[in-house]
Amino acid sequence: MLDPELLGRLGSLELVARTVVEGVLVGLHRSPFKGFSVEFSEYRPYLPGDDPVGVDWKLAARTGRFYVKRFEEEMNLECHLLLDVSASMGYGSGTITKLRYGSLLLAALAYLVQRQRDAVGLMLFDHRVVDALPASSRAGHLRRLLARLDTVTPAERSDVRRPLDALAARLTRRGLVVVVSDLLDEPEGIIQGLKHLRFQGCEVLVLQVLDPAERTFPFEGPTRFADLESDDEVLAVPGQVRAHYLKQMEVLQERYRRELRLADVDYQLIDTSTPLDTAILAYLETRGRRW
Amino acid sequence: MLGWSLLAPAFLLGGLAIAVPIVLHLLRRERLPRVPFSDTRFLKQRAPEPRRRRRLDDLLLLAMRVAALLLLVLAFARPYLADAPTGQAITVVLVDTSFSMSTPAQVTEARDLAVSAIDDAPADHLVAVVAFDSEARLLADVGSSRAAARAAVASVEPRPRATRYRAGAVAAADLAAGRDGRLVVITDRQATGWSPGIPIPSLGLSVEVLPVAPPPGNLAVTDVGHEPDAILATVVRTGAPVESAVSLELDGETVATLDVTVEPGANTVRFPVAAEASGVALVRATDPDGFEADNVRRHLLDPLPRPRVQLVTDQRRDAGLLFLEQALAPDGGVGRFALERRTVASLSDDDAGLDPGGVAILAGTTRLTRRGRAHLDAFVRAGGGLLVVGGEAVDSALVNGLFAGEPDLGVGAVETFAEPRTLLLAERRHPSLTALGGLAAALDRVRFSRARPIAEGDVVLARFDDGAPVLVEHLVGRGRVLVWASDLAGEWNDLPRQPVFAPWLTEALASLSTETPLVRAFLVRETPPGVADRPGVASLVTEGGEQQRIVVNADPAESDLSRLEPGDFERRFPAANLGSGMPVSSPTPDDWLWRYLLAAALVLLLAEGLVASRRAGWAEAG
Repeated sequence: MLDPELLGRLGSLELVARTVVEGVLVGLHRSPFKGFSVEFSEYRPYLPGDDPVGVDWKLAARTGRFYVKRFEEEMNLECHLLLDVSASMGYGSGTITKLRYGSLLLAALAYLVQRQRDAVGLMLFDHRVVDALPASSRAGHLRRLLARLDTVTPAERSDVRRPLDALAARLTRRGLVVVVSDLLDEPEGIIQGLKHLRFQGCEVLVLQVLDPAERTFPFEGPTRFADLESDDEVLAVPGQVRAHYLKQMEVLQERYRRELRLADVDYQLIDTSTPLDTAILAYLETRGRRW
Repeated sequence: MLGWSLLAPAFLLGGLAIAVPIVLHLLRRERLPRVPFSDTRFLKQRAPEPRRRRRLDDLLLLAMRVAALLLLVLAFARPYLADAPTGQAITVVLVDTSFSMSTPAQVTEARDLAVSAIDDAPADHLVAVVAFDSEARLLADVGSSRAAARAAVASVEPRPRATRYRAGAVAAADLAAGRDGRLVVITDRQATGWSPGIPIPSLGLSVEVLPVAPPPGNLAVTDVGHEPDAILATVVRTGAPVESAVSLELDGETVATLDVTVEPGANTVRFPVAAEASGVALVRATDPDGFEADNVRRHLLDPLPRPRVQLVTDQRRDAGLLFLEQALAPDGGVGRFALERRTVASLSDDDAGLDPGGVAILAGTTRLTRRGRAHLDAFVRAGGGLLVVGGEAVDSALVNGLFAGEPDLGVGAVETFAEPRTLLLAERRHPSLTALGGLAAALDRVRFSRARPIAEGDVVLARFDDGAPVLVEHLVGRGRVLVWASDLAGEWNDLPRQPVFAPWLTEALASLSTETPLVRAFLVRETPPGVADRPGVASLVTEGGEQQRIVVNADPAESDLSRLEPGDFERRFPAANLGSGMPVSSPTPDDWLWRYLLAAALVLLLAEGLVASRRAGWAEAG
C-alpha cells in the first residue's frame, strides 16, 4: 500500500509518480487486471470485417500476411489533467492537504499516461485558469508537468464551471479529462461544466478528493471554524452540527454520483487517506471500461 | 435642595471588581479554538446563532454583570439624599466645656479664643456657637449677630462631664446643613474624647483647631472602697509630686484628714476608720493646679442586697444540712446569700409557693405534694435556679416528675460503691467552675461512697471516674436546675469537709441565679433615667419598687491629661480631608436607597442568569 503521507515526504514528484505507477503495474501482472494494459501494442491476423486502414502494409509486404495493429487508436490519446487549486484544497487535517494529494495523484497519472506514450496536459484552476500546460507526449514535457505540480499552492476561491467551459472551448479533439477537485462548490455549475466537456466528446473522470475530517467531522467542543475561501467564521458545537453536516455532505455526493452517471461522466470519491495505488486503479478501471 | 451622598464611600473601591467580569469575558472568548475549515456552508445552517448575535449576547451579558456589580457596590456604599451645599457659608465655633477645660485659666482662654474666632470669621459667613462635652448645647444659633454670638460666649462654663468630640461634630453638621464654611474647635485636644469605633460624620466644613493648654498637673480621686476596718482611696497624680490634704467625710461629717505627698501615678490613701453599716463615704483632696471636678469621689457603704436562697427541707431544722447552712451563712452570720428555710410541708400547703427569683435548694421531698411540685415547676420556669441534692431524703420518683414536658431528671435508686469513687470535671467552662479558677481542681479530691444515678441533662459538669454523671445542668423554661447525684451532708461523700465546698456551693448557686446585679455607682455620663447627670448622691427606684441610694461621680478618664497631636486631631475629622462643598453626611431615616439598588442588582443577576443559560445552552449541549 502506498501511503500518501509517506509518498508526500519523498520529495521528488517524479520519483513518487514512478513509484506509484510501477507498483500498480507490477501488481496488475498478478491480478485479474492482467492483459488490461492499453500500452501493450500487438498485431493480430486480419479478419473479415476489419477496417483495411488498420492493416500494416509494411508487415504484409515483408511477411505476405495481413496483420492489423491493435490499440492504434489509443496511442493517440490526449489526456488533460485538471487540478483544483482553490483555497479549500489547502485543507488537511493530517500532514497532507487535499492539494498535495491531488498533485501526487495527477503526477502518477501523468507518468502513467506518458509511459503509454499518450499526450498529457495540465490545467490548474480555482475560479479561473491559474496555469495550463498543453497536452504533449514528448519526453521533457513530463518533467515540466511534474515540476509544475510540485509547486502548486492554494490560490483563491473556487468556481469549477468557468475553467471547465474554458477547457471545453479550447479542445480540438476528443480525449480524456481527469478532474481532481473537492467539488465544494455549487454542484449545479460543476455538473454543467462537466456535461459541457462530455458534450465535446471527451471522456471525463472526476476524482473528488476530500479530507477524512470532511467526511467524518471528528471535532469536539465549541470551535470557531474559519472558512478557507472567505472571511466567514462560524462558531459551532460539533456535537450539534455533526449529523446535519454529514447528511448534507452525503446529499452532495449522492447528487454528483447520480447526475454525473446520467451525464456519462465517471465519478470517484477519494479521501486523502486512501493509498494512491487505489486511486490509480480507479483511473485504470475507468479506462478499462471505456477502451 | 437635595443632593446625593454616600454613607460608606469606601465601598466604591469595590467598583474595581468590574474588572473581573471583563477579564473573564475576554479570557473566555479567547479560549475557543479557531480551526480553519474548507467549507463552512453546512455549519452555518445549524450554528446556534449568527456570530454577530452571539457577540451582542456576550456584550449584553458583560454589561449586565458589570451593571449588577456596580449596583451592588453602590448599594453597599449606602447612598442617600442629603441637603446639598446651598446658601450662605457658615463658621461654627465649637467650645469644649468638659471638666478637663475647667481651670480658670482654661475657661478664660477658651472664651477669648471663641470671641476671636467669631471676629475672624469671614464677613459673608453666618456664625453659630456650640458648647460641647458629653453632649452639645447651642449657645448662638445660625443667623445670630456677631454681637449676640460674642455675648453667648460669655456664658461658656465648664461642666463635670467628659469630652465627646462626636457630640460636637454632629451638632456642627446639623447647623451647617450642607453649607460651605469652617468649623473652629476650641479644645484641649484630650485623647480620651474620641470613642473608638464610632465614626465622626463628614461635616463638609474645613476644620481648624484652636488649642487650649492643659494645666501643668492634676490630682484626681479615682476610686474609693472599704474594708471592715478602713476606707481606701486611690489618688492619681499627673505631673510633679504635690502635697495634698485628703479628707474623709461620712454622711457629710469630716471624720479624718490626712496630709499626703502624692507622687505621680496612683497612690493609695488608707483611712483607718471602721466602716459604717451604711451611709456615704466622700473623699476629697486638695489640688493646687488641676481640675476641681475630680477632686471628690463618693462611695456607698450601704450593704448590697444579697441574693435569696430558699432551702427546702423535710424539717425546719435538719442536722444533715449543717454543712450546707454553714457554707451559706457561717455561724448564722451574714453570708453572700440571704438564706431562708422552707419545709416541704409548708411548700405543699401554701398557695403562694416559692418567692420568685433567686435560688432554691431542694434537699428533701417527704410529703411533697402535687401542689408543692407545681410550685417548684413554676419557680424554675419563671427564671429561678434550683439545686436538687440527691441525698437520702429525696424521693427519686417525686423529683423525676417535677417538670412536665421536660426530659426526666433521671434520679435513680441509691448505689453504694465498693470502692470510693472520685469525680472528673467535664465542663470547666461552666460559670460555676470558671469562677472557682484553680480551686476547681480540688474537686478531684472528693471521695464518694454512695450516689444516685442521674440523667445526662443539657450540660454535664462532672462525672464519676467510671463516666456516670455526678453534676448536671438542665435548662427548664427561663430557669436552670443543677442536679447533684450525691448528698451534701458529708455522709455519702467528703465534699463538705473539703476547703473547696463553700466556694463551690456559692458559685454553683450564683450561676443558677438569673437576677441582675444591682449597680449603685455611676459616672456622670452614664446615669440612669430620672437621675441628675451630675456628681452627687441620688435615689433610684428599683424594679421591685424599693428606693435605692446611688452615687454619681465624675468620669476619671477625663482626668487624663494625655493630648492628641494637632495633626492627629484634625485627621479624625473627615471634613478636613474632604474639603468644603461636601454635603452633610449625617445619615437620615431616608437611607433606604440601598434596598432598591440591591433589588435592582438581584433582578439584573437573575436576568443575566437567564441570558447566560440561553447563551450557554448550545455549549452545554456540545
